[in-house]
Amino acid sequence: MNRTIAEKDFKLSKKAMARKDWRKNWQIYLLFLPLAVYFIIFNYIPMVGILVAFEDYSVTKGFFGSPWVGFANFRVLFTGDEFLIALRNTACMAVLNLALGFLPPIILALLFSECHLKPYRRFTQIVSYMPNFVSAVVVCALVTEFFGMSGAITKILTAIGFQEQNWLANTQIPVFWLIYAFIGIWMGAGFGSVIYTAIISSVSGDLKEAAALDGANRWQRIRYVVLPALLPLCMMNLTLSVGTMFLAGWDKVLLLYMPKTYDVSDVLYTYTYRMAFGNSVNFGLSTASGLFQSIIGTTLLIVSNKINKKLTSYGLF
Amino acid sequence: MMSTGDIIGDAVIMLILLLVAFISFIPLWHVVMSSFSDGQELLSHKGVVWKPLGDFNLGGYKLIFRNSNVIKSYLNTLLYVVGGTGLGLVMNVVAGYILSRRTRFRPLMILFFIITTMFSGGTIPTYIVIRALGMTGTPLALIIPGCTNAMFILYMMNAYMAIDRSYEEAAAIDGAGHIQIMFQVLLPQAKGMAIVVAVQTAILKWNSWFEASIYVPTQRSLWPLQLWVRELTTNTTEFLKSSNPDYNQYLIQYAVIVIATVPLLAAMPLFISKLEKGIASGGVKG
Repeated sequence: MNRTIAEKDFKLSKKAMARKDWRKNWQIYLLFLPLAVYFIIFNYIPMVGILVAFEDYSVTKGFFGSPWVGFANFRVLFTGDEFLIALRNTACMAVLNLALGFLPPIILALLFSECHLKPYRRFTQIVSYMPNFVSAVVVCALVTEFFGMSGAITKILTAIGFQEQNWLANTQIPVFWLIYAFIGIWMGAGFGSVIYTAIISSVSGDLKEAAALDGANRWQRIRYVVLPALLPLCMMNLTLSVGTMFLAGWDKVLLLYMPKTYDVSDVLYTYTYRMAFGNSVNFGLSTASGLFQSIIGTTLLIVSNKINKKLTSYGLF
Repeated sequence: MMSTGDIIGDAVIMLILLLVAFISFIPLWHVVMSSFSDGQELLSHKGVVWKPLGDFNLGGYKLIFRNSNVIKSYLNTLLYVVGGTGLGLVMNVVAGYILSRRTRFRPLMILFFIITTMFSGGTIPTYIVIRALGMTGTPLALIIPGCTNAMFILYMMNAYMAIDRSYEEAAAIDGAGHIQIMFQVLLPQAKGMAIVVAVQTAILKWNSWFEASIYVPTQRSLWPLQLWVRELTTNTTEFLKSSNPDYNQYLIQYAVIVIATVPLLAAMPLFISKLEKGIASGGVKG
């Protein structure tokens, strides 16, 4: 008897709370409405639109009129050489980008923090950030120029014994991949160091001085004071980069590759693009390939985030 | 007292940093110097252009500014940057405020945004939606989509949450409504983050090219500057086919890179410290 009354009370109070919440916050919910509409249109409806991957989509018939074909698009993908090559290139380039690109921002931050001439440090810092603010189109134009027949980097490579050539047209295995990783470092290392610099400057001061008083040299200070403080962030960034390595930053391939080098330069992103906007349009195939890429990407993201939470108790979500 | 080892160490570090700055800067320097060079000499030059080749020459810029398409694209880019950043700013400010209130559905609303950071429809489904809305071939396709995202909104939420509650309580007792509290009480204290996010939106919009290449591929009068950079930096030697080539044509590609890149780099000192602070606070909090 008592329990039912308590339950009733509880229900009532829940209702009353809802009413109170509505009275107090209805304006908030009203403001949320346009935002919800925006995100539903540009984020949630496209998620549903992924179903195009299971259709033989035709522009004239539209989303609802096109026939369902089940996994036919995926069968075509996985039996086609073009897709498999793009998959291999994507995986190799993602790993290479991460392997080569992970350390430079950290090293750079350490160097900045060990430079005690403040104006000099600030100057080199800001100059090193600049490539980050240059657009992908411009960066790729620069790369085409510097690695081209009469480019500066080609000139250096020729001087150390390589054959003079347009390096972007080279189809030997790691050449294009290395160029791509290099672009990532050139653009990202400087600005990527900001976050590490922030952490280093938050420890430094007293602890470093104390270590110096105890007779620790520069290397010992870095090794025993700075690096331990930096490690959690490094781990977090490493797992996050593993999580996002399949998802972002491929538009530069689209600007740099050419039909002659598809064997080494075609990636899932560009394959998806060609299938949608190229000469032989196939939205179904394109969406299937995009879906495949985001499934790998999202899986990596979720797994790496889990690992991250375990290791550092931080997480993106 | 510094030991000799320390001094050598400092010198090596400064040298490496100089090298880093050099590598970061030299490609941009090369382009600027090339844009002032003599076209014919530049065409046969190999390697970095350290100073203008031949006589100082503004021919490339003259051709660029005579090209009404490029001027139009500059205005287009400004429109997309200002429109997208403005709209995004309003959305971030409002959404951050909504998510920072202690409402019944707050967790659900936060989840609503977080889901979009994990899953996305990808290029084609988004394209189909935007085409279905009739936005393709109009400037709206380049202004409205992508002017905010869940991460920006969550940053804004954190900025509001960091403010001492006593301010808004005092305002609420004085009878201030949500709109008043948001704009007059809280926003002035969270404006640092609002600016950081707006700057990031503006940079994204200024540098974006892919969206324009699929949403307004043939409407050249709507192209942003970056698409013209792509157009003018490919097929740069076409002009040589004419019987009496104007070598200034060759300089167009450098001139267009300069006018597309320098404004943002020149504005860097205005926002770089704020951006650094924003990154530092975002990262330290996780």
